[in-house]
Parts: sequence; structure tokens; C-alpha cells
Amino acid sequence: MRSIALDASSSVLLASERQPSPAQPSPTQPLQPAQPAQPAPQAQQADRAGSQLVLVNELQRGNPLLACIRNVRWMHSRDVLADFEISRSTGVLYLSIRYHRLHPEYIARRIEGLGRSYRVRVLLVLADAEESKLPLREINRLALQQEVTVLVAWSLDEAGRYVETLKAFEHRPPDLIRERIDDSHMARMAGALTSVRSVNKTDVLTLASNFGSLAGLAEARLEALTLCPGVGELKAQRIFRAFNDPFVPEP
Amino acid sequence: MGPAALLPFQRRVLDELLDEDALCIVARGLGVGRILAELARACATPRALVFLVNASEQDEADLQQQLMQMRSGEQADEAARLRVVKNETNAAARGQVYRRGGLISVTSRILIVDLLNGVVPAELVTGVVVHNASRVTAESIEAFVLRVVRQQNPGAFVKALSDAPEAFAAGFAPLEKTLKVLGLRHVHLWPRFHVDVQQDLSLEAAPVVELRVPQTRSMVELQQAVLDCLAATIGELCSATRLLDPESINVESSLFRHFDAMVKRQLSPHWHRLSARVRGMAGDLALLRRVAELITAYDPVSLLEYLDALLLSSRPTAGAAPGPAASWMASDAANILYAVARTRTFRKVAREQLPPQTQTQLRALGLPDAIVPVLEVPPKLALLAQILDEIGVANSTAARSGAAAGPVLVMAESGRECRMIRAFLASLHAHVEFDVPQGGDGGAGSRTERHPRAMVDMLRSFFRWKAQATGIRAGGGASAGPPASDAGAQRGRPPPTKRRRVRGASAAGARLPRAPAEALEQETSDMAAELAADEPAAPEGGSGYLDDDDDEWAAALGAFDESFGLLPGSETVLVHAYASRKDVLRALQPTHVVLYDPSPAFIREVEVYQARGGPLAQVYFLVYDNSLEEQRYLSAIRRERESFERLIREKATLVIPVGDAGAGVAAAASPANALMRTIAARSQRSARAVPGVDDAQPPQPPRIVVDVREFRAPLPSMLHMAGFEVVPRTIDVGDYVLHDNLVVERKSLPDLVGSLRSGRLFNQADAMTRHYGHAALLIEFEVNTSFSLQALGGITADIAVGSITSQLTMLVLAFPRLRIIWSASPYETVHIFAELKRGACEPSIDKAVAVGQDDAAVEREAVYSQAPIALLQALPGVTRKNYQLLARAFRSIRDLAAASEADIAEAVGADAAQKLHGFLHAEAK
Repeated sequence: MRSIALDASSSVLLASERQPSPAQPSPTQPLQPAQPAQPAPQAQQADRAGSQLVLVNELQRGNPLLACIRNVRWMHSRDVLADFEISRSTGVLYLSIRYHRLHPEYIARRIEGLGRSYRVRVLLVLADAEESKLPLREINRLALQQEVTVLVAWSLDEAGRYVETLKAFEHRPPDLIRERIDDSHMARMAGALTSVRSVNKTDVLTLASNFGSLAGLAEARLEALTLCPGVGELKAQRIFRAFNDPFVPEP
Repeated sequence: MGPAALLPFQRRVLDELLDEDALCIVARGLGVGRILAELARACATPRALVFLVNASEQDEADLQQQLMQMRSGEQADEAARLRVVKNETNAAARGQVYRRGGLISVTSRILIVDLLNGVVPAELVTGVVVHNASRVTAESIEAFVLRVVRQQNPGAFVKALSDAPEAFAAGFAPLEKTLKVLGLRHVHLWPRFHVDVQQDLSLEAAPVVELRVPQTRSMVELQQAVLDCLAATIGELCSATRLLDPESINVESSLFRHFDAMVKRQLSPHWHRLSARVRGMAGDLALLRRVAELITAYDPVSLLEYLDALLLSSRPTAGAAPGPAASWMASDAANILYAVARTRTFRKVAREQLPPQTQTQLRALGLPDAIVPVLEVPPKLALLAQILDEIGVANSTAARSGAAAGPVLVMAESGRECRMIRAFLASLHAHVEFDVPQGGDGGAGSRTERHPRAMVDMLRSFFRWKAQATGIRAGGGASAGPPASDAGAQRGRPPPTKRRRVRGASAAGARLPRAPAEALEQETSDMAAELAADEPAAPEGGSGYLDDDDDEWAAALGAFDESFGLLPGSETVLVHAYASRKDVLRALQPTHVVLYDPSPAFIREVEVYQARGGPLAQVYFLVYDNSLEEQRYLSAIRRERESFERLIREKATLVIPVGDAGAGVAAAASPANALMRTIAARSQRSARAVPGVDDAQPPQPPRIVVDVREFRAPLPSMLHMAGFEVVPRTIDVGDYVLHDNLVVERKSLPDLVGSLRSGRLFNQADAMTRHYGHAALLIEFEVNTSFSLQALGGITADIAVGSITSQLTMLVLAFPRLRIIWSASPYETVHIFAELKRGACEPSIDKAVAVGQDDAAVEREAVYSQAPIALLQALPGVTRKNYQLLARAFRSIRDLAAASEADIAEAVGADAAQKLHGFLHAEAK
């Protein structure tokens, strides 16, 4: 089985990795709740590559959310504590707000049931009720006390996407949300100049081409800044002050 | 010069305001600044402590100046002055200023922190004056300030001023809302059509001549092209989102400044869910509106330069991800826009068509030798020259009969325009003459064209800029720019170094090698590159009015205040910008005024000046006939009148709760207030239930330590309203410390997106989970925005790496111990915090402050100036650790840039110094 690799630079077709499987529910064929959905072939694959699958608790059989998990593979399993076991260390509990309003005690019991078995404990909440603020207030508190992390989705598709992404990113280093250093000089120049309020990339180009270097810009007179096309009076003043005002204000 | 007396109506405005606490809305130009100054004079005594909040720097400067004039009019009264407290003033110095009393203009964020920390004893506050009251909302800090002052000192007065009636005419009952927030029960309206105003101003009608200047054909064409682009973008935007109201969002309304705000308002509930394309289009609308304004405001060369810069910066750079290309730039209308903008500046011709002496002349001037300069002079400038001649003649006849003539004042929209006008007038008689071919296809004799020297200099600097800018954009690759020799041959096929902009599947785009606008731009930059290659050391010389270092008239100018330049030869002409200084009429006492740009506010200032007995002989009012400028002017007047009419109606039916002298009014203002009080009651009960708190003691309100930088957000105000004790401190880790073991970092949606992308949130999450047992990220939606993160277009088929879902997921995986709190609004957050505080111990303030501080002792009190420090921290080689060293070793960025690498190394070490010095001095490419 091929491994799923993601290219960091753009959105990637994970779908192309998916082999068409006749029994896999397609978005056009809604899953029927009572029917055992997962066919044998998937279960066999699971033996060979169990870590490639999201294991779904039997309790979630018939959950329409399953139809929305399309970019990663999944199968039902009897011996998982979470609703969706992404990996040994990551477990997801699922809660619809409508259900929570009927059975407010349910989720606390489920969280307790997790024990200490996962390192990453996610509570995936589907905000499917008109008024979701009040229940969310409770859920927020419970999550803090019981040490689970809440993710809120506003549609089944979005909830499915969270499950998919958790699986797809399971082994990825968090480079996506870390500081990146763009090495080109202009990118760094843009990074520096846009720290001044209201300076945009057109201004960066205008300033860079009119004054050459940052050192050149630092020596520029307010007048000269004002006269750069597109740089208004206020903006010119902001730029000028950022370069010329003392770091420590003088009394 | 002593202060001029107030006009009778102004005196009434002031008396009413002194008489009772009220909001006063005055039409622009009727002297709201003057009234504020009189009010300030009454307040500025050491016996009182009055705060002026919400005043801009410009307001402060104007006020300062007026107070000074009043002082010199009377005896030297030391107290009648305005003190200004800003970010930069440190806490100790602020305390001193407050204790001295008088009138103090202070940044609201500073004032609220000082009030809460007890630096300002609230019981000593005499009152608060709120300037620009239209900007105060229930969530703004000013409302917070007023609430705290009133709570602790019910006797304090509140006076509010505004000269923006339009702002009170949007949305549902805005006047009533504002009054409630301000805790005021009275509103005074002073439109231009108020009976008293009419009477005062019509006594001496100013002699105004309205001159309607026809636009040139190219200006009309430009205007049409921009309108077409606007129409196309609006159509596309409306069909892409369906969130906009086509009734109010149309080409007609798009020409006015409030349009951007209107689009933003209609989209803002869903802004975080819009696609990048839609957001881009909303930005394009603002940009196009600006271009529409610049057609009349800029000279042809500057307009072309601005347009070219737009095109260049929209092009993807090597390495960077391609952003969504603005679709208007690919339209036919944009091609016309670029073509016309260029043909009114210069024409490209074959080199052979030009007479040899013209070629030599062009080369000597530093221009490409295959162009014919066109350099259309804006018609208003030409007319202005005529008017000044006329006035000159009239003055000299008057002088013969013994009458004294005052100066001529020319007023324009911006300082930039002033400079253009001055440069043009100065070079009225300095022309450059070119022999150019007569007919279209050469050979048919030649004629001589004259161009103002200043414009020719502009054109040279344009080409020089162009070569630089294109170099920057094309750079990064090995070969920069096409070689000069085959620049001509290259036309028609895309040069290898230039990347073609990727556009949506457009059939036309696929057929053409490049869009015409781009082709033109390309041609120009080829010429510029050729020019730069031919003359590596371009002849130094003036480059128009952009660079005045070596212009002789500029030297004389430098001695004067920037906006007070005297023209050589005609010493009585002053050119001034509307915004630069208030009360310019009274200061300069002109006899002739030329309004180069239409301005409703300034017309009224002229009226007031005249009514006070100003020696006006003639006022000229210049406006381009049938132009966008004219439309904008008329609609501004109409909008103001309609706003006042609406306000008058609303005032008649105003429902204001009857409170005890304003004390309870502010507290009752918020709809969520009743709820908050129940929470407060509950929180207090729970605080009592905490072991260790003695039941005998009065219940302490639950305490939350809040980072001072958070006071820009509405949440601290809401928390305070709900009865929490809000303790402002500078804290390094997190924003809110609920108890010793729980810290919360608040992120609004735009902030969330930005900080996930930049990596800032990653670092913050890292610090929080390291220092606290419980750390939470609070995702807070704004009031009136839809409580949903899902994109409006629905979920994409595949996992998009850049989406917020993906980034949040990654955060969850990276920090298993970081909790996420979801809140629909700041009001909701208050409830959540109350839940979290239930039964918890109070946080220790000292502990919260100490967390995360480095051992390298940081002087917390040394508060840095914000903008320079932000810029410093954004420079390569500067880290969170070493920026303070730099800030102490150097005075400003400018000094840092002038320092040698060795000097920098002394402060931060060789490595960082090399990076920093190298970056500062690297030429952009």
C-alpha cells in the first residue's frame, strides 16, 4: 500500500490515493444507518496495514458522519475506547449538540471511559442546533476539567474533514504552523516593512525601488516618502516615524 | 494675534455644552475645533482634572496651537494648556502628570489601565470630554473609561463632540445607541441649515466664483475605464457572494469614501468564511476607487507610475505562492486604462522618426531616445496660472489706488498636490522644447513642443524608477532583465525572465501571449532597462518635484514650514493642504482664496472667516466639469444634509431611560447587562465558597489578570461590567490569567488565521503549555459575525493544507495539552470565564507577571515606542532576546542603519550583526 504524502506547498489531491472500492459509501449514495457498512476487503487490508486506518467504534455505526470521511480509510472495530481512534495515541470522541441537549450526562461518562489511553484527546462537537451557545458553554468547561480538546464543526462535512485531517497529519511535523523563513531579500524586506501599519506589498515595491535599501529608506525625508505614488500622507508619516522615532521616548 | 471672537451661533453651541452634559454634533467646517478649544480653555485649570479622549494627533496639535494663541491674547496663564499622555509616557511620569491636574489628552487604552490600577484616582476626575464621538460603540474602550469614571465618581461631567453626522445615520437607531453608551441624555444638532447658522453666515456672503474646468479627453477615457473596471468587479463580487445588497452596492455608490466601509459592513458577518478570491475583490474595489480619485489628483507621470507599481506587485514573484490575480487587471477596460495613462505621458516612436537633435536632447535629459514626451498638463493647473495672473493684475491696480492686498491662498487636498502645484508654478517659465515629427508616420516636417521643466524631470525619474522596480520584480533569477540590444526583438513573445501572470481559464488569455496592459508595461520597462544599461551612471539632476535636493527654489522653501512654501517671484501666493492645519485662514489673512479641490468643509470655513470680517476680495472654486470629483462633492453635501434630517427626526422620538443624573444610565446601557449581573452575583457566591476565604469578610469580586495589550479588545470591558476585578499588567505568557494554574490566549478570527500562518500562535502555545498546568486558546468570534468557521463555499473535496481546519488540527496534534475554548462573542466569553472561575482560587498578580520572564532582567517600566520596536523586531538577526540590547545601544532605526557592522556587533555579537547589517544595506533586487 502506498503511503499518503502531502506536499506542503499546495493543496494536494489525497483523493487520488484512494482506490475505488465498490462498497465504500460514496457521497451520492447515502449510507443506510442499520446496514453493516464495511465490507470484508477493507477488514483484510486492516490486518496488513492497521495503522493506515481510522478505527471506528461500533457505537458510531450508522453515523452519517462516516459518509463524509472520504480521504482516509476507516473500519469498524470492537475494541476501541474512543469513537474514532486515529492512532494508538490519538482518540476522538464525537458529540452532536442536539444529542447533548437530550442526554447531557452522556459525554462526561464517555470522557471518563477513555481513562488514560490516549495522549491526544479530542472532543469533536457538531454544532447542529440553532442555539449552540448554551450547550457549548458547558462543553467548554467540561473539556477543561476533563482535559480533552474541543473542535467544533458546523456541518457533517466539516466534522468529517477534522477526522480525515487528524489521520492524514498524524505523522507530520507541525511545520505548517511554525515560523517559516523566506530567504529571498524582497520577502524579508516585505516582512519588515509591512510591520508598519497599512503598508501593503505595492508600497513595499514602490519604496524598495525608490530608495534601494532599508538603509536608504531610513535616511529618506518625510517629503520624499509622501511623494511616492500610492503612499498617502498618513502612511508616509507612519513609515517615517517607524524609522526615525527613538526606541525609548525622550522626555 | 489674539483669538477671534466666536460667532453668535458658536457661542450658543458652547453655552449649551457648558450648561449640561450633552452630545453635540456640528456640521463640518463650522468650527468644531474652535468650540473644543473654548471648552478646553474652560477646563484647563489646575483646580480640575479633565480628560480628553479619542482625539487624534492632528486634533491635539490643532488644539494645542489654539490654546497657545488664546494665552498670548490674555496674560501668560501657565495652566491653560493641553498635556498629552501617550503609549510612550511611562507609568511614573503619567502619575505626575495626573496629579498636576488640568486638561489631559490621553490614549483611551492607557487611561483605562491607569484607572483600573489606581494611577488616576477616579474621585479626583472632574470630567471627560469625548472627541469624535461617532466612533464610540458599546464595545469600544471609551465606553469602558466612562463606565469606570462614573462608577467611582458619579459627579464627573461628560461632554461629547462630533463633526461626522453621516456616522450617526447608518444602521438602526445609531444616535440612541451612542447616547446610551456615552450615558448622555441630550443631543444638540448644528447643521449648516440651522436657523442661527444661516443668519450668522448669510450676513456677509463670500464672493465665490465657481469655475468648472473641462477634463481632457484622456482624463474622460481614464475615468470611463475605471468605472468599467469597478462595474465588472462589483458584478463579479455580487454574483460570487450573494451577501451584498445590490440596492446599495453599485457603481454609483462605489465612488464615495464610505463605500469601502459599506462593503465591509455587509460582508463582515461572514468575512472569515469568504474565499481569498472574494476578499481580494473587496480589496480591489477600494483600490479602484482610489485610482478613480488619483486621475484628477495626480499628474500624468505619477499616475502612470502608480498603475505600473500595481501591475508589478500583482505579479507573482519567483518562489512565492501565486496569489489570486485580480480579474479586473485582465479586462479590456484595464487595458484602456493603462494605454491611456501612458499615451498622456509619452508616445513610443521608432528612433528614426525623430530628428537627430531631438534624440540627442532626449539622451542628454536622461530619457529614452525613442519616445515623444506628451506630458499632458492637468487643466486645473493651467487655469490656476491664469487666475494668479488675473489676481496679480487686479492687485497692482489696487495697489496704485492705495489699497493693501493680502496674500493669495491656494488650497488643495493633499500635501502632495500642493507640491505639484508649487513645482508647476515655479517652472511656469522654465520650459524644455522638443522638435517632434508632425504627422503620424514621420517625414512630414516637424513642430516644436514645449513642456514644463518639472514634468520632464518627473518623466526622467519615472524611467529611472522603472528600471529599478522591474529589476526587483524580475530578479531572483540568474539573468536580470532582457539585454538592451535585443529588447526590441523580444517583443511579441514572453521574455524568459518574466513570468506570465496566471489567470483563470480565459480563452483570450490563452491566445494572446500577454494582455495588452502587460505588454505596454513590458515595453516601458524594456526601454527603462535599455536606458539604464546605456548609461550606468545616469546623469544626476532634479527628478521633478519628488526630489528637491538640488532645486534652487526648494532650498528657499526648506527654511519655511513645509506647507508654507513661498513661491519665488510671487511672494504673496501660499499653497496649503486642507488637512495640514486648521484655522489657516485666520492665521494668514488672505484676500484671495483658490480652492483647487472642492471641499464642503473648507467652503464653510471661508464663510465663517468672512462672517468674522475677514478681508476677502474673491474666492475661486475649481472643479472638473462632469467628473467623479464633482459627483463626490455633490454627494458629500447631500449625504450630510440627509444625515442631519434623519438625526433631527430621530431626536424627536428619542427614548432615553430616566436615570439618576447619568450615573445609572451607562450601567443600564447594555442589553446583556441583566445577565451579567446574575453572573456577577453567582461568581461572588462561589468566591465565598472557596476555602481560605473568610466568610466574615465582604465578598471579593473574582479577579482576572489581563495583559495590558488586551485592552484594545472589548473583552476586558465586558468582564469588568460583569463584576470581575480586572487587573491590568504586562504579562509575557498568555492574555488572561484566571487562576495560578490556568492561562488563556484570546484570538479573534483574523488574528487566529494570521497567527497560525505566521507561527506566532505556535510559539505562544508552546510557552503557555510550558508554564501553566492548564492552557487554553480562546477562539472568540465578534459580535454580529456568524458563529461558524466553515467556508461559505462548503468543504473542498480534498484536504487543503492551507485551510484553517488543517492548521487547527495540526495545532491540536502538536500540543495535546492545549485546550480550545469556542466563544460566539465577548459577551459569551464572560459567561464561559465565569464558569471556569467557579470555585477556583484567585490568581496571584506577581506570579502572573513573573511567568516567562527571562533571567536577563527586563526593565518592565521602560516602555518602548511601539512602531519603531515593531519594525526592529521584524528585521533579520533581531530576536526576542536581543532587541532590547539594540534598542538601548541605538537611538532609532535610522541610527542603526547608519551604524557600522562593528558597532552593531558590540551590542549583539558578530553573527546577528552580520545578518542585520547585511540586510539593512542590501540593495533591493
